[in-house]
Amino acid sequence: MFYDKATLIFKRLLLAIPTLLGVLVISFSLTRALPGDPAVYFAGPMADEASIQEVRVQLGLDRTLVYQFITYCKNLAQGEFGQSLSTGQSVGSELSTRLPASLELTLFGLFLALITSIPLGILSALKPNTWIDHLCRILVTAGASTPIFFSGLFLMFIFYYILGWAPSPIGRLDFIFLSPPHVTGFFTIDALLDSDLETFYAALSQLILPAVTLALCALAPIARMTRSSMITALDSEYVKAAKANGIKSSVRIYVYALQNASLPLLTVIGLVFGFLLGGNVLVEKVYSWPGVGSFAIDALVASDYAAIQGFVLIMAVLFVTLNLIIDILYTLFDPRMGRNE
Amino acid sequence: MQKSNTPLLSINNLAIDFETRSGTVRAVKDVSFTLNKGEILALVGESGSGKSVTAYSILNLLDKNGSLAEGEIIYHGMPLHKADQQMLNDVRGREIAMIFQNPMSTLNPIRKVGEHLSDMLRTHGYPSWSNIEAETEKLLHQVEIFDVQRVKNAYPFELSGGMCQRVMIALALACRSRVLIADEPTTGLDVTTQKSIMDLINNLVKEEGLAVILITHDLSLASQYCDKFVVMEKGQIVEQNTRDKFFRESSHPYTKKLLLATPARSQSVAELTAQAPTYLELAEPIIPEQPLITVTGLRKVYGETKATWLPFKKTSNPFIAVAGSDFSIFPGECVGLVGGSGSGKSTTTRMLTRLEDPSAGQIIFDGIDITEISSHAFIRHPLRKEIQMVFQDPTGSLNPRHCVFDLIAEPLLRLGPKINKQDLQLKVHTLANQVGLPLDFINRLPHQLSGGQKARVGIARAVALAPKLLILDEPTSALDVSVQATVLQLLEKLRRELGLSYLFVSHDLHVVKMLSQRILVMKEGEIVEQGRTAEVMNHPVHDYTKSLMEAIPIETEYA
Amino acid sequence: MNNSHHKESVLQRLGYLASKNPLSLISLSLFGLYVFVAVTASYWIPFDPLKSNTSIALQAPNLMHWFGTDHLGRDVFSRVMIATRLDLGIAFSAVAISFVIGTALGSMAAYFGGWYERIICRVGDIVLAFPLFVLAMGIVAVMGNSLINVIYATAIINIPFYIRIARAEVSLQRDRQYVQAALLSGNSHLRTLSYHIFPNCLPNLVVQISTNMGWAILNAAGLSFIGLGVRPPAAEWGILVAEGADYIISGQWWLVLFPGFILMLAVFSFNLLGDTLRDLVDPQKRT
Repeated sequence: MFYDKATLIFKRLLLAIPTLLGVLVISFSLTRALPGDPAVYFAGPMADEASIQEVRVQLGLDRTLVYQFITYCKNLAQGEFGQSLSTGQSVGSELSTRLPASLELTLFGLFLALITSIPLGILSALKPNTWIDHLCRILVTAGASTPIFFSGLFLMFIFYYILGWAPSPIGRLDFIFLSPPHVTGFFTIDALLDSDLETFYAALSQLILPAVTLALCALAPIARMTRSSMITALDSEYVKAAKANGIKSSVRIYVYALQNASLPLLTVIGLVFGFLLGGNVLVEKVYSWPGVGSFAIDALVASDYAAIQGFVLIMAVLFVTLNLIIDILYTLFDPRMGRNE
Repeated sequence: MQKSNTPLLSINNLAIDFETRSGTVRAVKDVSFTLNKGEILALVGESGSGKSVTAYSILNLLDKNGSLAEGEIIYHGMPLHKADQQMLNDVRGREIAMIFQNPMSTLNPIRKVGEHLSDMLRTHGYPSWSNIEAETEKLLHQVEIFDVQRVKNAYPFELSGGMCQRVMIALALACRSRVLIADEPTTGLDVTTQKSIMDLINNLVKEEGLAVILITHDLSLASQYCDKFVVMEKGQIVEQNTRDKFFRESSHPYTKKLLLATPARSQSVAELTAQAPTYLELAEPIIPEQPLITVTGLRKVYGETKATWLPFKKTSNPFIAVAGSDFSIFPGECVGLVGGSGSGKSTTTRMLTRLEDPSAGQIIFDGIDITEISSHAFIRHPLRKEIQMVFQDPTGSLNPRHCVFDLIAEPLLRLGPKINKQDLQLKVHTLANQVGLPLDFINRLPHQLSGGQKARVGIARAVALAPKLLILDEPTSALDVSVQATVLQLLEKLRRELGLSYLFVSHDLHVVKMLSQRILVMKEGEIVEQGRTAEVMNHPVHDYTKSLMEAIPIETEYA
Repeated sequence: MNNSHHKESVLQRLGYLASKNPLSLISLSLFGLYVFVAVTASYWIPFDPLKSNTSIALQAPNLMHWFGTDHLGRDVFSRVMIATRLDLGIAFSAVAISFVIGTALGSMAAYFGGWYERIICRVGDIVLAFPLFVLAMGIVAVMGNSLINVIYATAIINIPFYIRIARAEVSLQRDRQYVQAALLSGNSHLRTLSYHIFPNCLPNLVVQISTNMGWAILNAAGLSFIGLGVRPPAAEWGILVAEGADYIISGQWWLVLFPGFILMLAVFSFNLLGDTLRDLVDPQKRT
């Protein structure tokens, strides 16, 4: 069985390669789809003919498309994403400084979503078609229908402007605090590692509103899937047979049913992460969060195509990696995956 | 086996109600019977009889909208119908255990067999850790599983249906239950597996004094193992008797109908119903010299290695579904095809109907080699209408969106000559009459029809263009026994009326015996024996055929 | 073909479904309301949505301007109403395109299998490898800010969902015996797929359509919020919220609340509509 699992995992890893290749092709073709000469775009509006030619040679734009693609991949392998027009820095360094900010936000938002929506889904499933169930479903659907930017603005209005509970939305940390020594890049974790509780709380309080905004949009799919897969599991023949054999209801619900229900749940979490990565961009704009999302928005305004391309690529790579991890977890947890299909 | 005097379980005047949208429905009315130690009681009935509901109520396993309205359930002197949750949890699995149909789906798919057993033991109070391992192995031995290490660490999907059912029985024995309720435990299993499971249960009854309620629709199975018979119809008991009296003295018309319809007890299809069918007036068709269809060397292999440009070699695991069959079918005759699951019956029928291409071999139909024509091209071929099929699953074989009229008209429109609206309507109505389908059902959708009606629609559609060869793939296995009787008579009638040839695939050997003149026995892709039905069934030559014939439940009237 | 069993029209069935389930009634009415506003808004809105009048800028909601006025003095109510046409139009067109292409590709992939299936799934997987909003951003950024590009981008990112669902549904149905029966009755593979199998996949597909439409609106609004796609001074819910975002911190909440709420209500009613539409299409729910 172990050997089967190991081969399956290896096969999944292999399967990810053509996907990554496709991702590279698409992000490459994004900029090649621009009308006109890409070199002009990359060199920027201030460039003169000489620098445009330089850019042209650097990117291999005078050669064939295939050569350009290979050059592109080679550059990526060296961490070379191009120059950002709007900030003057290399896109690679911008992305790497800003990525931890976005990740901290997204992961915390996912965490908040999970700890609320899973119990909600289980509760709904245990009492289907009662008023509790209907209430949960309506709340959850309402949450899913709300545009992220709207809920972000609204939460900010209520909790900052009216109630004054939340700090002003100007970024990750208030001016009076220094950012903690860099270990992971996550301010909250780094502050804890540095035993600096004040900074930790400050970072956390800046983080809460944007994370809750993100969590709101992730609630619905997770709660819905938890509910339906729990209902399917609870209705299944093996749970009924377990009941007939006298197995206690808590064991039936939390061991038998929940274990079986957690498999489709894993897949939904992967899907939700995609929504969150996209929603990240909007939340970062609303809360002025200095992550890759706001970097991309500034790049859009400035027609900074190298930056846009780098942004799209990095988000895709993150997403593919997460889905791969989920696939592997799924393979490990579902014993049926060892079999010849 | 000594039977004690006080009954172990007694049901008195039981009535069960269900809350539905249209009000309260009394599903079970005034049911009373007793079960003694060391006894096997058959609870017999067709769908809707209330037999399962009665059994489920013993352990209070009814759906939320079901409730016990009247009556008592007394187990060992304890009133079970009034039991609180604590007592119920004690009784369930420990005193009274239950096994179900479809054993693979009643085991948790992501838990190992050993874990199932230890869950059971731990729930019912087994204290120490080391005991459980030994106890688990002992239980598996008791249900005749000897490959203990493999089975203990296996997941349900890795075991066969028969094995899973044994594991379920082991779960029932785990806490030395005194009563076992078995809800159609062998339906869907091979005849040989069925026999071994029932023998196991029988042994447990004799050796441990287990008391069993066997819920079944199969009277011939019940007759071989059961001591007491309770027959239910529409929620009520219509007949109750011990075995010696049951077969000779049953008086209720429903019981008599069931007994007649049970294939094991009749010699011919005509005897399955009380009223003699009309087709007896038609003569048996005379079989000519020339066969209608000749099959030589028919072979189907799945998963053969294909040339691959991938750097690592694909391990080839070819699965030989059909190894090479030779047989013929003559016009007007019915040939039976029997075999266990995985024997290649379905693959053979798919190749005969040209839904699939054979890997090798020849099929000569009416003088033309139809294997030369690809399955794709055969759809347009004039011979398409000559080979048709009646399917096993009455629900799945009818498009849920089409009404009866459209379903029957489909082949007429696609394969028949150009036809105008009026003639089409006439033809469809004639066909409906021919299969005994009332005309006011013609606009109904499949989910509004009963099992028997759906089967008739399937038959009407198949014979619409009077095909020369009709392949019937377990056409009645999903039907109640009394409905099956009428459908089998319909098939006989059509064969004589229209001069059709049948290839009748079934696992029910009694039915095959009644219907077919010749029989083919398949095992693991090969035809191991073929010949005239009476010959093969009474004097089997091949070992497999012998084991099949021995496994058929024969009715024993005397204990 | 005898069609006498189609006794009830679509409207009759809708009426029946609405009467049985209050949620259906609510979602159908809301949906109808939005369609009505989208089609007729330009005839009855009180003010010109594009005309600015800085003297009455940033007025709170009052009797004259029910939703207040924005920073250029334009009536928020009129702008929100007229935006309905744009947003609903984007949603309908994008979903229509992705439905047609996605279900065709997915059904054929499931039915014919082989290399065809592998390629289609691979392409779908690659599109799905991108967080969808990010991909839409990339597409619109590159193709240019215009209405049609927003529609194309939204359609492209939704196609893989239809491919997946159509493929899953057809795979389920493909092994059922009525498919074999259809082939035996002389239906070609293409006809069996489109006429026999596909209609049985509709119930689940139709639920996806309604959730998708809600999604498409959110997507388009999100894009215009960050400055892509439809640009001001066009009235679109996302643009309205973006314009109002600068003012909410100083307390002018009506600029964000009204367009945002109307947007949310639209998506909400689309999400609720899913189950009703599925009941409409499911033969087993016929009276």
